[in-house]
Amino acid sequence: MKQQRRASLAGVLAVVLAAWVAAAHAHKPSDSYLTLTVPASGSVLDGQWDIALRDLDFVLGLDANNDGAITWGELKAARTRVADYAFSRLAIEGIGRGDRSTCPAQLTGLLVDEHVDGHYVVLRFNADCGLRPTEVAVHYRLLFEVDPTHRGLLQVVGAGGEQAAVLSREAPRASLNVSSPERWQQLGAFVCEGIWHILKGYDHILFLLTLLFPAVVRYGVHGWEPRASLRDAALEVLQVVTAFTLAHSLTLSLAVLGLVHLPARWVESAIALTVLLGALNNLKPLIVRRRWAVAFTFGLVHGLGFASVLTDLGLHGANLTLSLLGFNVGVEMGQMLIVLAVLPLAFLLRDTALYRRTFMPAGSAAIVLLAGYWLVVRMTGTGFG
Amino acid sequence: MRTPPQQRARAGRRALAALLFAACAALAAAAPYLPESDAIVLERVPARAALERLAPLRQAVAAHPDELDTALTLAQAYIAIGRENGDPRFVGYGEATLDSWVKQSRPPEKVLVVQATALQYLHRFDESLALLERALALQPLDAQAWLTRATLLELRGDYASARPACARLARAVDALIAITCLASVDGRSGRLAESYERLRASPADDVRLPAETRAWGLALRAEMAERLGDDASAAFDYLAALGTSPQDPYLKAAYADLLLRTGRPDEVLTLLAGDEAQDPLLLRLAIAGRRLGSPATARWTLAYEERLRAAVRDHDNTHLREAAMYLLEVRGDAATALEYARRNWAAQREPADLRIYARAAERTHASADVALIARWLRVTRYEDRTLCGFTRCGALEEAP
Repeated sequence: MKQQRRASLAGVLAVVLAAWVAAAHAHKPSDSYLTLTVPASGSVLDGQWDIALRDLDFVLGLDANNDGAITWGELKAARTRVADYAFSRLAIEGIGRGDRSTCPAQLTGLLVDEHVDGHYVVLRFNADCGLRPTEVAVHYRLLFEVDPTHRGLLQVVGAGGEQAAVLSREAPRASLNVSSPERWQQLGAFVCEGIWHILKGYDHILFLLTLLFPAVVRYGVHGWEPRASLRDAALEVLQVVTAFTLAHSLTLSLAVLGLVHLPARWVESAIALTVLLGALNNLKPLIVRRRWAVAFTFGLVHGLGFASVLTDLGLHGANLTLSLLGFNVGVEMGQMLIVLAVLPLAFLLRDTALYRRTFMPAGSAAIVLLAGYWLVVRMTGTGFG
Repeated sequence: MRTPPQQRARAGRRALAALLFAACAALAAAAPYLPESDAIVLERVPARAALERLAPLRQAVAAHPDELDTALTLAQAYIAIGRENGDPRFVGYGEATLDSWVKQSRPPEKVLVVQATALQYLHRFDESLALLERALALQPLDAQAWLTRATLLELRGDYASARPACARLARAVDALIAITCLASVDGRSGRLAESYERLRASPADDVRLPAETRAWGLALRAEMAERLGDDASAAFDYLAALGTSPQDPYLKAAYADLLLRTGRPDEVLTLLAGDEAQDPLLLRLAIAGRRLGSPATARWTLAYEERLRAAVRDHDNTHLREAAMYLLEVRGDAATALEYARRNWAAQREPADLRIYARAAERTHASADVALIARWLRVTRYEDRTLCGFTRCGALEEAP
């Protein structure tokens, strides 16, 4: 009886300690890194597979002389065993033109590399699919039989860009499309990103509004007076929006190409300043003609702001032009949506005193306050909650 | 003025940027090479001594794969190695040992409990709790299951549910375990001073107890003393606990945090000398080194940043607390630190999780987060004197 009680206590104690540790793991979890490069032409995939020596040692016993250290000599001697073990747990399939074909892996080189958690063996290999794949399917089973927490981090590099997947015992298969239609999807994604950015970026919307409010009126001796025709108003809007667009497209391209770089805090503060000045100009107009010039100048600043979004999304190489184009188109579409929503309403209301004497000054004053607040917050880098 | 969706989008963008940056950095660092000589040592076999001790047990399991008791012992031994070394792969080995039983339609209750322990260690708290529930349905007297359940619920800040789980222990196992469990939960839900006294009166530090039990009791006492504002007693108990379990990474980190908070970074360098391999301890070294202007600071910071990047890239979510500490203390990026601390708080609510969340919220003047913390302190009646400077101290305010 006493014996039994002690046994159960020992069992509990093991758990007690585990229970304490909600801290970070000292070691990286077990991951391998598998990269497959799909050639622009031909049927042979180029592969690289980094597997932790700690992991391989557990299943293969790499430490031949049992001295606790795994040497390069010992790893080289185990070359065939390592390759057999690894490749027997990886199946690659190429899919192209309605055909499927397996791509058997052939070891071409054995190297090592140091990752943050120690040394990894690097298996370089070729995998001939017998056809040019537009899609690569991978079935991954490395180490799952001894360690269900292990994961394979797969990356497939093709002409259409890079794609990644995490393979686990629960989800050991991934099929990644590497053909070019992917590019059109990407373009679409960037168009959406552009629209989204305009619509959720209050500062851009407010700046547009400060330009749109006065477009249906003109500043005369008696203050703001209604414009006679929708055509006049639309023409004014067209000028202003086109100038704004040209300007921000210009700086956006320059910034994304890396030709101009300003700290984000300055850019964000400057954007707030443009909104502030735009609204002030509606309250106490200083510039009433050539408002397109104002839109152009300030547009240069907003373009730099868009650029930080695009750089955050990460762009490189061949995708750059396409993404830039997509994002710009998206931004324009977002702007048009705002114009279409605001202009007809403003035009209908332009005759009313409410619009000219109350809405324009009060709205502009509100924008001045808001933009002033942004300016302070962004310049000092603090929030007031 | 930022709305939550905007904040989320910003956080998402930032995370994406961090990921891409990490990917680029990983690519840049990845330069496979051919070692110059066969004698070059590439790696030390991890936990070699412990694995060697396990060899007979491994052979026994291999010879009789259907013997449950042997497999359970081996699985627990693997999980223990994983815990001591902070290496999750050993926890995976433990899980795999029980694989054939786990796959059964009705796994034995003990298997469920050990598997729950493994998942808990891997920070998969929901799955762990679900397994424990199944195990307790099969065997309502399983002490291990009740204790793990109590700890998980406490970790999440669900003290009302954790308390009855502790109480169930009293019937199933040694009273001391139940007393310690209850003191821990009560100490976080409005009865800190009283629970601390009860724990001090219990034989928690009796030298005849097994080392793990003593270390548990002492560490808990230290944690409570710290929250009561008695740093001297806390330091004394941390040292006593470390005397019992000198290599425990959790204890070392907790004591290092106390030393850092009380302006004794030089002692952190001594305490953690040679512990660079453990990420959480490496971070404390970097923070202490920075305060002291130590020449090794740059090396520690760089090494920690590299490991953090790898963790972010590989979606390892066990680093959120440490990532927040790093961003706040080393990088001075309070806004991003707050994002991490907030995400961490959603997953776990240990004293250290609360402190980093509160500090980040305070530094960024995030009134919504400060209000959320204040409300949580009020509702749970959680007490922590180290937080008094910044916000309300919950029930402590009414205390003498």
